[in-house]
Amino acid sequence: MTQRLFAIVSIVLVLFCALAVAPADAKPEGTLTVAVATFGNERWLPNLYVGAEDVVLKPLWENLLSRDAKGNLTPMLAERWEVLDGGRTWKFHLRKGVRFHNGTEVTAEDVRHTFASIAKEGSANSLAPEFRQIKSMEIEGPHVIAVRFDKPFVTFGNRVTHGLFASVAYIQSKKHFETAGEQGAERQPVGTGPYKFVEHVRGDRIVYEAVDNHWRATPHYKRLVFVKVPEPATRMAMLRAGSADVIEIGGEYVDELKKVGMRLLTMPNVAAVWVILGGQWPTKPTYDPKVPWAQPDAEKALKVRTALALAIDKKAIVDRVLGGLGAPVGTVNYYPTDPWATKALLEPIPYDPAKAKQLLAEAGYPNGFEVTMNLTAWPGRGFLPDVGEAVATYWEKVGLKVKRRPVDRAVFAANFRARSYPGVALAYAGPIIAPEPWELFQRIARTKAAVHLLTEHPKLDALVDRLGTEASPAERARIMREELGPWLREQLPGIPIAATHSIAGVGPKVGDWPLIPGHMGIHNWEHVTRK
Amino acid sequence: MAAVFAPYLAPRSPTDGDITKKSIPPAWMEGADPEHPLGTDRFGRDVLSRIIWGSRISLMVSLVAIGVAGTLGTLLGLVSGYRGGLLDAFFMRLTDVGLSLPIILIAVVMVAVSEPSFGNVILVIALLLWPRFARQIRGETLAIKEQDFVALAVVAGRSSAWIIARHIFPNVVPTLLVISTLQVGYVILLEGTLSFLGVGVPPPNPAWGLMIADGRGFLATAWWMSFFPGLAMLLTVLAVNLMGDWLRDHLDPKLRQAGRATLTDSPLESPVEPPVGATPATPSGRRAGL
Amino acid sequence: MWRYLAGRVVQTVLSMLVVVSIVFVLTRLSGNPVHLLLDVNATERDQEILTRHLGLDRPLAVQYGIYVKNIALGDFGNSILTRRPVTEHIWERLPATVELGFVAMFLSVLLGVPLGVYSAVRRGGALDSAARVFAVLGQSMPTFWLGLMLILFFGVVLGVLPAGGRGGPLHLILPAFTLGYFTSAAILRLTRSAMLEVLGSDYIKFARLKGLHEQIVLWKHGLRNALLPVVTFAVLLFVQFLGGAVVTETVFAWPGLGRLILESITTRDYPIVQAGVLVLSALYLTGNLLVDLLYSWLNPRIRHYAA
Repeated sequence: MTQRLFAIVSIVLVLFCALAVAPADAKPEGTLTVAVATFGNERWLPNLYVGAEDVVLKPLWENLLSRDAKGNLTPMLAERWEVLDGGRTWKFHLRKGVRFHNGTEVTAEDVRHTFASIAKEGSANSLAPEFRQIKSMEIEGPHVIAVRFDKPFVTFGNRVTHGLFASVAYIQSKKHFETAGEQGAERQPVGTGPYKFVEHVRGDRIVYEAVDNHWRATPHYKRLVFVKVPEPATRMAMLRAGSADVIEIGGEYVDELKKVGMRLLTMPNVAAVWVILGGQWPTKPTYDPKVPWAQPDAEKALKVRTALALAIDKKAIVDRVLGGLGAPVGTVNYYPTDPWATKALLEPIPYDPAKAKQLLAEAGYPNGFEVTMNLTAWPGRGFLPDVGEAVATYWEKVGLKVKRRPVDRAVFAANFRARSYPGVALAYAGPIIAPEPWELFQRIARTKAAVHLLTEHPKLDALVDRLGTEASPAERARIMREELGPWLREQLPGIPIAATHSIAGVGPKVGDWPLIPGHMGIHNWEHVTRK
Repeated sequence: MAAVFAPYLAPRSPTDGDITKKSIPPAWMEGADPEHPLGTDRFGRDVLSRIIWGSRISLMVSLVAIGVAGTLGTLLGLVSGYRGGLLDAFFMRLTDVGLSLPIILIAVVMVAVSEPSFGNVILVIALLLWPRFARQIRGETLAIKEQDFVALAVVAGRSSAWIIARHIFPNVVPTLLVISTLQVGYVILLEGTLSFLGVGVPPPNPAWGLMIADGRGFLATAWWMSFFPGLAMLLTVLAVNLMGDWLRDHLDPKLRQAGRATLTDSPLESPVEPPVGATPATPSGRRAGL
Repeated sequence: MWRYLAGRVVQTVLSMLVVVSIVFVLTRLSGNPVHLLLDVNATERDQEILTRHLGLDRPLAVQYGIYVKNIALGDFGNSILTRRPVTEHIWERLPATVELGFVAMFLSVLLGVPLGVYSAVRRGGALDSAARVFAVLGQSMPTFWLGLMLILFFGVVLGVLPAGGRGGPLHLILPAFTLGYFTSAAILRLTRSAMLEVLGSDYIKFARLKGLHEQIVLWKHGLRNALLPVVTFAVLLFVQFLGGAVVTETVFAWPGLGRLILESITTRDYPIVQAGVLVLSALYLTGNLLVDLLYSWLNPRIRHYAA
């Protein structure tokens, strides 16, 4: 783990990280057609990426770093990097000789230009809030850049890695921007990735062509075509008809895919499913002391939360609603593959409706209480309303009265920003924005956080603050293993359901390809093999 | 019938699910459970019971929506047709506006504004339907106004309200009936379309459109989830449409005249999409007035 | 005549203003797009910056004033999400939309008119009933369902037609049929009743008396006179297809205007929703106006009633 910090990563590792089965044999050939649900913003300027377009942009661009088959940060455009001043300075040494598709070499100027445009005012880039924390960027040589922060940013590497979903800090060519202008950069984007831009018909298709002899990995397919098909049943039909080779599809379609003889690509453990219990924000004006699971009597509140957790058959939800894709876990946002996840933390909370009823009675609710279950789907997580429905049914079995409320994501997004949903529960799948669980809590579960999706608690605040300034990965892992995890497991601020996989449908023309662990969304297009 | 007696007919609760009994096939297939003659859905809910209860919801949505739209539309149509003049022009332009709005998109916006609920779905549909009624009834009123008995009533010094209520309204009732019948099918389909777009009747209510939309992606593994509600919808809509046709041809002698039939026809036909407005209502409506 | 024309034009413009206002109110009620645009970890400050950037911090009345003024000047603003001019967004979707709408209308007429004529001639006969059942059947299942079934049958089982997306003429067949089948019943009924009216007229009786061949009477004299309402209807149908094909466009992955507006509603991209709905309404109102004028030109008596 030490190589993540102070790491001077050797060339050997560089080669190792190209997790490609080296395509030495052949030139790129044929066309790979991919049907996806969304193209996101359909813009090519770095300040306008909202994150959703990650899947369709990744072939064109590259980041400074990547992640390997074990989940460790590895070089990409930066061949090595240093973390200095306890995480206040990140220094990247760029690989020499890497060229953009227009022939210019990647330099530190390009990195500074990219980071600055992500952070600029009015930027919609999903990474903008974090890049605005950058105090200064110094170019220490044509290929060396130091990025400085006021406060330690111990996991900045996770923001500039290719190996996570929505990693949209793609390095852009400053030169191209200056010569072609914003309009030109928009019309003919120029990156360093294994595929170069050919055509973009808005709302319809994006066409790429393979770069011959790419510095990192030459693709197997000559052409890569993304088509936008919003209706999942149509994507299934296209896959079966052979008009698409790979499709984005939700986990609820896993049986259907198998039945019609299509293959699955599984991206394991990429989303943590839990039930949010709204109202646990005692310091805020919208706090409602009558909400059973958030009442001032901490002991009773905990009994209610425990009862709600015991009432749900987590295994049945994984098997039946999530199509068997994943495993029940016992701690919110902890994955079976995490080095800091112990057996005790992963052990699911038992399914025990009798005990649940008993605890409810002890807490003063022998006849249950009324609760609203929001059924809200997040993009790429269409199974969430189904999970919510299943949870509602289980709760009804222990005497709760559950009102279902299908809420548009926009409406709920406003709710969680305003903390205006006390007494409301909903199923949620935490995106993997980073491998370490606290990085998500820092955004959604601190008392100071702009939004709220878990709980506000001084103990949790303190833990997140400590982790955020702890420069040693080993020490962070220890805190997550011995302090944060056990606290979450005992307090049950949210009800952990499962760690779940996401899938893609794969047609008969396409072979297998390696994936990066924890990367939600189809990726590694250059490694997709032909059959 | 099924709608009224749902509580007695349905073997099981429509919302009570058990996910361990998910996607059980219908009785005659392998792996079936005799307790669920038409199988279960993705949450282990009984499909037959949901269809029976669903008839209630689908019919209720259409009846209430049509009731509201019909009342509003008829009122405006009567007043507008009888009074004429500036008021008429105003109401008819308002109707134009109503007809010109892309119905589905506006429905999506409106439901997104609030949140999907029974009341909202009904309200949205009613708001989108009333111009159809207003147009038709106004045309009818214009024609009836020219009749001798209306002129007599005017001479006799009856008030406008009295004339509208006593003379004109009874004469537009057959048209109203025909329009309403033909709208039932349309509204049932509209409900399905809204569900497809995710803004229909909220789950776990067993509305037919919602059931079809829910099961559409699982045709290889569980075709019965959407097939049977689809069949129920098909038969119902077919039946009400044919009944509407029959009503038009037999109940109302005036409408049998070909030229008149045109105007009742077209607005009713407007499919789920393109919106209601897809009708030559203006020209033919005008013609009727002549 | 000129007074009538001017009056109708003014009325149409006023109607459009009402549409503009309705759309403005609806979209402003539907939640703040800033919440959707911002990542979960955005701070209050980020929120303020973005709100100001988008001009959403001003009072609603001011926003409305600016909005109406800009529209009058032909400026629909920029998309909130993509920051591109809204007009560009709409223009780039129009070709696909017009293509699909036109072919669907054509198919609808192709199905509806002959069936309607036969249905009228064989009134009450088996063919009449069969034609009507065929037409009503198209209106008895949800569009998305019909579309998916067609995709599965022709795209997957037979493998003869593409399953989705826009491309050559083959890509058009299924979506156009899905859209057109639905409306063919309307065309059928319209043709049928118009034909019945025409066939009962003295003019046709006279033609028959002259001893003209029945087929000529039917198709030349009969249909030609019955076509006016049908053509009018088809024009309005086409206008409606431009934006009303949301479901068909979604099922067939057709990059049309309806889907653009639908997706913009989901992301609360106000300017696109407003402009899109406005354009569609304006097209309808204009079509309506033209049809009205056409009728009044053909039939002067109407003017009395329309005034």
